[in-house]
Amino acid sequence: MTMEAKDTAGACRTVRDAPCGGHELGTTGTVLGQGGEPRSRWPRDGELGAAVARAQDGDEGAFAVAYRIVQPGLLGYLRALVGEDAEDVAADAWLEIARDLGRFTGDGAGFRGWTATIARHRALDHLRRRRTRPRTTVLDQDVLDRAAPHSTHDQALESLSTARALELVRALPRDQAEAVLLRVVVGLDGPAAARVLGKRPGAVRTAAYRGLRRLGRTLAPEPGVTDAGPGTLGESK
Amino acid sequence: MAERNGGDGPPGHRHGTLDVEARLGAALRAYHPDPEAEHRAVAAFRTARTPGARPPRTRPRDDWRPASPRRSLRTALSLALASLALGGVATAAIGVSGSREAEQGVRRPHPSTTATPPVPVAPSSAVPPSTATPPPPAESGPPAAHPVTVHGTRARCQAFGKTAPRGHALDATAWQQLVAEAGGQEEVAAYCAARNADRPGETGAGPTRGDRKK
Repeated sequence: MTMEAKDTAGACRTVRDAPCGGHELGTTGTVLGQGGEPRSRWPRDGELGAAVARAQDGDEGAFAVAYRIVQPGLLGYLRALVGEDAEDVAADAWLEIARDLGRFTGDGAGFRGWTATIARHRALDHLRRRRTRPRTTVLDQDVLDRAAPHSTHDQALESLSTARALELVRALPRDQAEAVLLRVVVGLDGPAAARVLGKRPGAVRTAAYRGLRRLGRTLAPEPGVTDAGPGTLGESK
Repeated sequence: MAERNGGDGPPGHRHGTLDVEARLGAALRAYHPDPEAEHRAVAAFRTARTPGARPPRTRPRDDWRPASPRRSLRTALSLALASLALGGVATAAIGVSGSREAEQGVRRPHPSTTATPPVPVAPSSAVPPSTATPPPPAESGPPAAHPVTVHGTRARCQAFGKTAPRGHALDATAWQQLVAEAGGQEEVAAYCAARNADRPGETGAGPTRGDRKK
């Protein structure tokens, strides 16, 4: 069960035909997707919604399931926001999530939005206490090593290591970084991301688009030079 | 679904973006499970549960149902406000674009000085327009609806005269009246000059609300 998160990420490396831009990781649709964009964009949302409902009835095992489904995205989001203290902030967030679980009402996608909002508040509180600006420059290498499984794929040009991804995202303007993170890491659609950020959907959509475009230029600077296939991550020949 | 870019050709911008998303997402979500962290979270869940307690209240921030009533209410309110605003603009446009004369009045060189606001928005500061046409779009001033009178003409001419060098601050309707009375745009100046000369001592009499400075 605990390997699932890893496997999901690893699926793209090993299964050549699985479109990583597709449903495996749930990043379907376009950046500027409008009303046609399905609200539940991630493959495990049904499972998550059911787990949350059971957890609200007292099922401890169901809560653990929900935790495992949500935590990778939450942690990824927090890592970009607060850097090395991401685990601590996540722990704070889960305390609040556990405490207020009975208040929540919604489906799996809604749960991801709800938990992201809580995590973000904890992150901002944390940053305020530390009197640190969101974009701290130093990332503890241990944190990064723990974050990503070691892999020879990291050596390949096409692949993208966690450290590098963090570095790139944290270099974006704050609004773009958050919009991108909520979309790509937490898997929220436009309206949900806007709600988390307390901004207009149009503004968030624009920020995400700009951020992704900028990141895209960094990751694939030459037109026409793309990976061997869409969605493959450093698949070595 | 990610499009498959089989061959060469223009780098599908959209395709490229999806690829970036996928790679970023995978890299940032790469995750080493931490059993201890999970245990702590489950423990928190355990201790937070008070069996038999009243169900906790769902605050608005906790309502994440798809297309929840709260969200659609907000949307409905926004739409209502938007349509009110649009309706107001539409109503305002009625008086402005009502006639060619009015349009010509509108198209007059916008005296880009502070003293004379552009015609379509002038109404409040202009003469108390005696009008048979719909009241001008008055955002600040009271919409006047006086019958056509000499006093009205005089006031209009005074207003015209006061700002003539740079244009005029008459609202479209008042301007239209003057033009009609004078027999043409070019005649207005002469017309008003004649009227003012006829009654030299009455510059301040009558309903001279039109003298109100902007």
